[in-house]
Amino acid sequence: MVETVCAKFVSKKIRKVRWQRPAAFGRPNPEYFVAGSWDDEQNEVSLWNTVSPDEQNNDPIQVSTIPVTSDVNDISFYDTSNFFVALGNGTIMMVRIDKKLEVVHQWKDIHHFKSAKAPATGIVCQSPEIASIGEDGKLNLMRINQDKPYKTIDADSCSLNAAVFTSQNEIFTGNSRGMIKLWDLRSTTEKPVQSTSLAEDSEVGVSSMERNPFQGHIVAVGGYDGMLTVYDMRKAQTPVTVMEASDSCLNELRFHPERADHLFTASESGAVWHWVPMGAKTAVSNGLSTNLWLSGDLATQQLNIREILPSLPLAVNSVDVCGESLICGGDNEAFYYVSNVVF
Amino acid sequence: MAGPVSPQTCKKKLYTISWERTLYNPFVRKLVNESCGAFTSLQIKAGTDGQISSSELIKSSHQYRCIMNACIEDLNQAADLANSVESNQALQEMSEIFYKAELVWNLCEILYLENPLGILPHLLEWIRIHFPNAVEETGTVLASPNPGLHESYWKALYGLVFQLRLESATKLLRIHPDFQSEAFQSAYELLKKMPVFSANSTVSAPEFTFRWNHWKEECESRTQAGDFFESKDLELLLEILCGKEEAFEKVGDHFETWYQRMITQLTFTQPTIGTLSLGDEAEQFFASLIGLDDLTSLDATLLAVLRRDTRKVIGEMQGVLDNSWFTAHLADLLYHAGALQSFEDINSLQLRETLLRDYSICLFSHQSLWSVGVLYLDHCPNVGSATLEHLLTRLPCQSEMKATKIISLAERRKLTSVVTSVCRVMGRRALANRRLGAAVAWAVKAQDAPLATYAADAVLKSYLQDSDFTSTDLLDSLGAGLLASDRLAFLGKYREFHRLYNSNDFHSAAGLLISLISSRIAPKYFWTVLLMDALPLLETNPPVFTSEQTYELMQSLQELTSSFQDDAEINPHPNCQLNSDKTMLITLALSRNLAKCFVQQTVCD
Repeated sequence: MVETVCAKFVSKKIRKVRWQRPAAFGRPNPEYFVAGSWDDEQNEVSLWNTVSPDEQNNDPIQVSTIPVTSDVNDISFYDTSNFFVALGNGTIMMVRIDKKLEVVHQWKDIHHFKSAKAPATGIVCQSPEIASIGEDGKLNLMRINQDKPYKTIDADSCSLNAAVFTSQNEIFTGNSRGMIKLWDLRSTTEKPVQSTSLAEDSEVGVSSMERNPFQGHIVAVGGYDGMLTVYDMRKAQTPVTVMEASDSCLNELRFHPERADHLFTASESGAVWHWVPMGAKTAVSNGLSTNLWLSGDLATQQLNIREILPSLPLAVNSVDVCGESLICGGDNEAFYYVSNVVF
Repeated sequence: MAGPVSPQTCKKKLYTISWERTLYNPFVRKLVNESCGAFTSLQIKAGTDGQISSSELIKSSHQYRCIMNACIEDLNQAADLANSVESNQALQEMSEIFYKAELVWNLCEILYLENPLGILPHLLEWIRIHFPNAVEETGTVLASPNPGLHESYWKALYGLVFQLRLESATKLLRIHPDFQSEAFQSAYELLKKMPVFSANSTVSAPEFTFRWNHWKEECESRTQAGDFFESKDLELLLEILCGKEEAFEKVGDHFETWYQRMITQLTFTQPTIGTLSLGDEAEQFFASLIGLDDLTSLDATLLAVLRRDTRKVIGEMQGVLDNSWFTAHLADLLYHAGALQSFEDINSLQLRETLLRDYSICLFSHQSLWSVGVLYLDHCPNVGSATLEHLLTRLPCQSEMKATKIISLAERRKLTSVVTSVCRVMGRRALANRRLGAAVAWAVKAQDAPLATYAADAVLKSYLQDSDFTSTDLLDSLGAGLLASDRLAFLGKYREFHRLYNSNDFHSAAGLLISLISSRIAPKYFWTVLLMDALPLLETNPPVFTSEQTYELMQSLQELTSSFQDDAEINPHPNCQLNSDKTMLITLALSRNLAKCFVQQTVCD
């Protein structure tokens, strides 16, 4: 099958796109994805179907949409049919996909300043734990059947931009000044287990974080300056690998959920890149593939960068990949659905 | 206008009222975003020296027209699905506007970008695309049970001939019941062998004219010989083929527009007409068919295009449309083709720039489309960066993410004032929200000393309030950022003093404290706090303060007590108040410490 790209203009700037992982085993390619918009008078979360009845036309079709009260800042799936949405007014929504989109629960205003609402900037799940972060520097911990966060950590004096679970009880956060901290959720003190800076003597903020799907201790961090930094959480004080991934902010990074050596990035300058491990095959036979992202100086010899799309005029805010399908979208009010991604 | 305002709410609130623009319609927003891609790729192709081949320009022009047509289709579809009469009407009106815009654009493309030697075949093609009714009519005729006798048979046939769809016309002729008659056979033959002037034929214009005249003579001689006497309809057809004015008068109502008739008539009278004489012909046609008094803006625009008066084209379109999408993109294209005329006082470059800027400003008036506007200002060499600076600083920022985006846009374009301004606004926002650490961080980023001082003061005050530092994670990692203001530097040092003290490094702590006081870096309102901090250090034995350091402290106490009364500065907290109890306590401690120092010194000596 040939790699095909389908562009769809949706008249809303797209902030997040996420595939709904297929529930049935053995069906690697997803059918539905959700998208959230930002910076508009009326923002929305929408559900799209990419598998149309006739084979000729692979234009995604909008299935359902729900209006939201503020910018969508993050979307994260809890299981195959429920996902969370972090909103710009500090509210976290839980939405269920049941043919249509349906809001099942809201944690209202759990991110707030002294007298105003604070944008929730991220939401991450590691069932049963749900954690949200915001511009108020707070880390809220929730469970699915509880009305209120059961724990709130005052984690940062600046805005938290990204977070990721590195294990069941540990969460890694990055702020707008490049401070990254590791939190133990069981700890009773409000102090991080570890705290370090993305780059010494610089103020480059963290824009995105993603952990390796198979090795939770490997975390990739994207910066405002377009640098990609890989950490090994077992020795998180210093990064293992630092690479220049773009000349502008790395808005999102995603490892392929099954082929964890493959990384996808979306940047503020409008580029969507696929990081292809060159020696993947030989590395697997040598038993070295596990260490690809930890091998220090891997920039040139072991990785090949492939442009998924010709560079777009405006920022790409989000990218997600599942099976052989990729979806990305951004500020030019369009999303791009790429089927049969070549690996 | 945006929604009505009830008089009750009017009293308290301030409303911004703006025209609802076509561009904000969700279907038209697709056009805005898609054409932005076409625009940027055109600029990349043109490069910095603006050299671009005409075939590339035509490709871009096609792209723009495709986008317009997609938009028209979307609008029509939406109009069909609309659930109210008003919205249906509004959508249809919008679609009509874009239809007309595309019509004009296409004509501009032919005249200014393609600029062929034989213009008429291109114009005829333009008519064919925009007036498909002849083909549609033929379809209806053919679908009827007895096409040859259908009431619209001849209308359909003439329609096909008007657009020189000769193959279809001869096919239609063949199905007429009298086709076997001599008259029909003769007409069929003439239609078959009509010489057609086409843009890509190998025949030169004089050679064509020769053949065409020959064919015309044959038509006329056959008519005069009475070949078509038995059929009036065929006679009319032949008269049309010969380009007889009276014949066109008879079928005048078959044409929807004057330009349709003009191009058909010219096809049968002057098929090799040059571009230059087109303008005069058009004016004559228009005057005789419609009359110059009934000039609509579409007519005026089309006439201007045919006269190659780009200035008038832009002016007319600017007057009709509520946004400058059309004029900006067209002017840019014409500018690259070198076809844009200059106005009296501004040259074509400035004209293009003005139109692009207008369009961009229009986009900036929308909550979300501003990001597209940025890209257009990038191609305004003279006023672009100043306008962008002005517009970006006025964008509201509802989140740090948007602020970060604006900062990165500005940094890439070296608009440092925008960066500073956004950081300052975000710093103020953080202060208002009591996010002191974030305020300090923004102030440092903006390198804004007053804001940094203000934020540092706020942190010091909150320290006095709670006897504990907020935002320690930030303060301990600021590094060189502390130099943004003296107050911030003091805050950082004071925090270090606490760290040293808590780690029982009393000597370093004492040294730091003295340097904070003697360098006068500490704000005066904080001196009392510093002196009180010195108290426990003064009580140690052996002393950590040397006699010189103690004198320093005494001097500052002296200064404080003497100046205190007339100092109008309001103390932010009771801890800053130097009352007699405190003075006594400190004086006592100082003298005791001095005594200890002397004793120690004598012992040493």
